[in-house]
Amino acid sequence: MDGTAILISEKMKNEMSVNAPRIELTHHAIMWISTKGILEEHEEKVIDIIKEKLADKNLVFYGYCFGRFDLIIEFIEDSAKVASHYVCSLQEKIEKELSAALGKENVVCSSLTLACRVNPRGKDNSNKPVRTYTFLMPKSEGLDLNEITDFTCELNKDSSTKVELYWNSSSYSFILIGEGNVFTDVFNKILTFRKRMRNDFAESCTYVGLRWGETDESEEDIRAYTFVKLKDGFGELNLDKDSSIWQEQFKRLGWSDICLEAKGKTLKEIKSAILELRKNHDDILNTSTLLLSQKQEPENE
Amino acid sequence: MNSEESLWEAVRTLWMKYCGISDEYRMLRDRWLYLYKEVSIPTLPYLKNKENLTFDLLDNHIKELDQLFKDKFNLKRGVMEDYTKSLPLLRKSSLRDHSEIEVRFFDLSTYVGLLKLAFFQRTASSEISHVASGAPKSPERTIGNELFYLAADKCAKRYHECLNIPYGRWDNFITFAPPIGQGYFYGAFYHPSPYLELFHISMSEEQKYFVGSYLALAHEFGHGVLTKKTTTPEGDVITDKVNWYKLLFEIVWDGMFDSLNEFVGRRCEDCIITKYTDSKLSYFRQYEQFIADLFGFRVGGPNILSALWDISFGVTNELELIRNVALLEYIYAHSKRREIRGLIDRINDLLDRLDVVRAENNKLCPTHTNLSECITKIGGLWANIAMNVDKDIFSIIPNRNLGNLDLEGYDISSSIFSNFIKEEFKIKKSEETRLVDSLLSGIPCTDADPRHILHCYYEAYKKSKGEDRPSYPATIQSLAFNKYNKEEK
Repeated sequence: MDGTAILISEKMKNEMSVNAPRIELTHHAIMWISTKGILEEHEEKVIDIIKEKLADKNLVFYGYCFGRFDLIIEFIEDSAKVASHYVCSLQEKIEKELSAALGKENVVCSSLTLACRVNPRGKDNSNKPVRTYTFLMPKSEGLDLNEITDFTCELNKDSSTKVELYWNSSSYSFILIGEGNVFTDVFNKILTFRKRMRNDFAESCTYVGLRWGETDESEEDIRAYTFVKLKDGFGELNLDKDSSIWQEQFKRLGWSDICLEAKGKTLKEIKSAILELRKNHDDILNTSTLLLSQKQEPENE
Repeated sequence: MNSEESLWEAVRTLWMKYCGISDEYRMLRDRWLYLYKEVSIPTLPYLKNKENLTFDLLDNHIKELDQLFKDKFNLKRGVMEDYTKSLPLLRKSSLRDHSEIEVRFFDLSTYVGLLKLAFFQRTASSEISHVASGAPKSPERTIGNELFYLAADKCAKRYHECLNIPYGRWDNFITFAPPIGQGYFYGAFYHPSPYLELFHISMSEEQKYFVGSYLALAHEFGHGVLTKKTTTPEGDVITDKVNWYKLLFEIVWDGMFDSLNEFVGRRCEDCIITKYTDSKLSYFRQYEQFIADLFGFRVGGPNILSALWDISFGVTNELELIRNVALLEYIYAHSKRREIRGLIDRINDLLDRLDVVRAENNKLCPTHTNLSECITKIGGLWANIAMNVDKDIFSIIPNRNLGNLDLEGYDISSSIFSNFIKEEFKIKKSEETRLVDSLLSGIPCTDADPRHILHCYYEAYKKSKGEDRPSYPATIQSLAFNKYNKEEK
């Protein structure tokens, strides 16, 4: 086999693209940043570092994360090893600058997912305030990727809320990345996808991002549980001076010490309340928020 | 301290370690089975069938060990140890009893370590589902790499299916371990267990970042063909090389001396190659590597050699080069000539590089001939003798008993090696083109033979210089989600 064989004929390319699912050759590097004991101004510093370091990259998303991670950065890179190098370098730079600013070390930790689009259609243009990452664990080897991506196309028709399927190397081998202006809309789309694909995927879990500096729109209330870990490992919070989104406070027996029940109109409102909470209470080590969808109504028979 | 007390101290120490490891295994086993997901892809393979899979054999092994401790030293799992109650048996026991238990315990400990490593590697992704609690824990480059491990399992399973391995079962999982034990990048290793009748194959951890290196798995299964279980005169149960391999090596060794005779008197005594003749064991081990390569090639294809060279490129070692030349000679005899054009260029480059290293170290050939001449001569001899013995061992050593050669029950009328090869590697040109083009385009091919996928990944990799490279996600997806069914082909 000589070198000319790797030049694929146009005809063959067309045939292959019509019949076979394809994993895009470029990578979406999704960097998940966890922090402990840092405030909003320090998160802003982190974002500044990211924007500077990734200035020549296609930066798809950067913003807040709801959950055990605090920030998400997503950029596009051809090479997996170049992407992971950038992420490691970013982490090292962030750690160095935050240590200098805070006077204490090891307050930041990053994780990485390298994701590749499946059957990509169109460019990676993303500007919506809400971005979700639904990790999907496949049930078997027999997934029909064409069927799945055909369904995502159907879901995306005539809608400002989009979803797209990606591959990655973990047990949750696929990620459905969604985006939109309204969190509940995006989440409903994810639920529709899960319902239709229940025979293909064993389980899923969703991380929610809010684009930096953006405000999402509201259609219905968003409920959430914010888990608070205290520096002392025990205590309670006086919420008199805090946002009105906090409904109830519960003591917890597990990893976190307090659970706050929240209700807000938008993700932005909830996030702002969380940042204010951390600022007002010096005894908080970190927070982690689990967003909930609307209450499950029984299906009509 | 008297003799019984002395034995007691050692036995009691061993007992405490054994109790810990034994229960560590039991916890790990139950956790592994509990986390096995029937409804999803098996990143943790199911290792129990109530008969002869890895957990079944380990369960029996523990029962045997419990019984040995009880029979020899009156040590029981349910109660604290008691010297006075053990004393009658201590008086009858010996160092031999301690050693026998220790060797069996070594097998168990090794497996617990391997299972633990595999468990951690293959459950890193479980942290993903903890959306709102816990700290990041995965120590991998990305949160989870389970598909890399599953891909290795699938490749290994396929190579295993293609060989008839006389001793032991493959334990059904591949680990990726740090190369610390060996002191260099060993690629992969094969580890047979004498008591458990299992063998494990582990890859050196850095290999997971280059899919092509999974070709090394074929070579490791080749070692399995050469292994048997035996009992020494002292009563120790060990794994050893099969007798036909030992005989083959003796023939090669004699042949080498005959061949090197012409260099006597040419001041070759200082040469590193002839000095190796002081170390027959080095040659024995390296020849074994060649035979494992040979079986790896027969089931994995010619890119085994390319992968081997990429792994060991920096090892400018005469013995390694002899092995490489031998494999090339063997492949030359078995393959279409055009397929190895690139390999011939590469070996010449490696030989030239070795000459440069030798010159830098003032180890020039004393006769001022090209070192390649000797290496090529010996490598060719290795390959030719292997081929001749394979075809007709009795023409070389008539009147040998098949049983003494560990070949009883095999039909060696036309070939010894063929008895151990169930499916030769073959790939049609059209399939090769399809797979290469697909992997370059990012199209997974989950229906293809995993051996073909790896071969074609390497074909595409060799042709590319960086930008037009085969897609590792498509390759990993093709392997991890592989649906190839040899029965249907």
